[in-house]
Amino acid sequence: MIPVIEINNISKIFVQKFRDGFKKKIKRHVALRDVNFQVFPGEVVGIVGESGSGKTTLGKIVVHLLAPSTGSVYVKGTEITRLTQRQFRPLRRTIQMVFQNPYASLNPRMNIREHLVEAVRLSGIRDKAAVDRKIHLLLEQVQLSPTILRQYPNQISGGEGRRIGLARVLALNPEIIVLDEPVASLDLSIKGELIALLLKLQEKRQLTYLWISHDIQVIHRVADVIVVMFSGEVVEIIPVGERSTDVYQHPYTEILFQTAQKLQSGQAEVTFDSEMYQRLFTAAIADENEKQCVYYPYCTRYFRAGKPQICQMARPELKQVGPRHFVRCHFPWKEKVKVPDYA
Amino acid sequence: MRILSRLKFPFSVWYLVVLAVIAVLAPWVTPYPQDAQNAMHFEQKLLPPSLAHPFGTDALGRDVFTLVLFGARLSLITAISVVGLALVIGVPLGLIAGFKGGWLESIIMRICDVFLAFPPLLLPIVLTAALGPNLRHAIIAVAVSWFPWYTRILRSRVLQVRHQAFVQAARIAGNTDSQIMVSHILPNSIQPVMVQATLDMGYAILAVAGLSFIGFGAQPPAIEWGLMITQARSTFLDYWWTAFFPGMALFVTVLAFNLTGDWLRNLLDGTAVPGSKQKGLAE
Repeated sequence: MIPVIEINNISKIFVQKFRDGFKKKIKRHVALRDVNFQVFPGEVVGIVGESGSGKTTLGKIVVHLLAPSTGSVYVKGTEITRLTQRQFRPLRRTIQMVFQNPYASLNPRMNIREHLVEAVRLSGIRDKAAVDRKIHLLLEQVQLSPTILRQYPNQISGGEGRRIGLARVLALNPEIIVLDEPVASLDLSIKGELIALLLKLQEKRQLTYLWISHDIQVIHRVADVIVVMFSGEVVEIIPVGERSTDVYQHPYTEILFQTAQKLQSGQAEVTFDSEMYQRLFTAAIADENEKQCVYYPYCTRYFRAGKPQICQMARPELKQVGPRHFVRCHFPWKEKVKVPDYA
Repeated sequence: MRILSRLKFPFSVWYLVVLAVIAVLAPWVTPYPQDAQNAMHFEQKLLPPSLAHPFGTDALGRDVFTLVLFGARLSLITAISVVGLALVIGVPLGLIAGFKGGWLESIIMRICDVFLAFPPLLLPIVLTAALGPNLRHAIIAVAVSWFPWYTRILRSRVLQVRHQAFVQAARIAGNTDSQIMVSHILPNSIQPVMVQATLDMGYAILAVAGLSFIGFGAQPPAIEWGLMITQARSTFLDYWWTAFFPGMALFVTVLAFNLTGDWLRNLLDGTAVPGSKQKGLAE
């Protein structure tokens, strides 16, 4: 099968120029480093990582909002990173993004109806009656009542905002949707409804999702492949099959899964490790030429293995350990560890 | 207009509304409309304020009250056209400079800097002197020397707005740059410019009256407050009312525009988002 998105060795460095007194200085912030993975048609690829791990930056690069510093992105066989806005237009409708914050991504001076009219018009429907019909169809698909049309963005709830964001994206009939934290900070019941809705739409319209989230539990439920990110790097790519047989090998993935499980079973405890705290502060901020494992200052494995020099001296490669299973670690768990079984 | 019905207008706004109505209806509401048509009555020149002539009469025997009311016409037209013209030039430039950035922004902003480098009233004086002194040229001159303010204000707002998520969302949906600028950026960045424009209406009247006073603006027989003060120059020491009432009209109107601008600014401070439920509930 041909991948619908192919991400090759992407790095993104944000350069900030500022003045310190009379001296001109440049601050470089590495948001992404050597990101590689593929997305196949009809797949749900989940991207997990903590805040600042580069998830959203990656999403924005895929939809051509940002250009990567190095590397290339192929969307349906076209290299998009060097395209201008105009050249990218033919692909625009194919690949869409739903933003994280529904309030910020809606124009405060346009009501919901105006937002949807704009989106439907851009999809090529001009006739007034047809636009109206399409809007009502979209509202039905995202399970909203038409009374919302007259509201302004500051009058709607978070869940409604997500649905509107989804509706305006669906208006363009995309094939790929980048979902940036689609269910974060919602009530549990609404969260469940929204996940079910997203999966239903995916099945019905044969969509491909790039689902960005910090919640590994949600991602594990919905995704076919999980991409685990840490500090701008992909540390593990896990294929999801039968839940009971899923395996992971990276120590960071372990922390994510174990924490989720502990929260689930109410075993979460407050641990304050002063040594860990020290390490957080002495850990160098990632540099594009950094020759160390990005995760070693936080790594339990590093400590149990007796602080091996190699973790500080060499950057591990992303090694393939199974079908579509990649790990970036010097000491991956020898025996593949099963994903914890949570309800 | 839903939002308008819920607002209480301050006195300054009502004053401006009444002034506008009077300006339109001047021939019908003034006691001696023929005085505005070059009628001269030397037999009743320089009469002090009385019931028949509430603001007295001038050196030509014309009723100052009538002239002041007629003067409102030119003053309001001046205010609106100066600010309107400055907005027409300044707003697109500011929008483009802020949104596009790069060399285009540099060129636009350097042009603005050149205009701002002149002392405030010097540029209009030079321009009207070059174009020929009349009211139309005075209006153009003042507008041309003012547009950079709007360009700068709007650009600074656009710089804040253009990186917001809804602009990116609009871009992803496939809007062109001009669609984004007009329907997403402009409605969210124009408010401070509108406040400034309202404040400037008063200053526009002052500036054009100033130009008229030194002979570069309105020319007789036009009736304009600044020009009336000029014409009263030789008489006002002995007959104060000839200059006092046009001056007061100027003063009160400028004040009204300023107060309206202040009111508008307070109003737009966060509560201007459509559908805001509560006053003072900032976004």
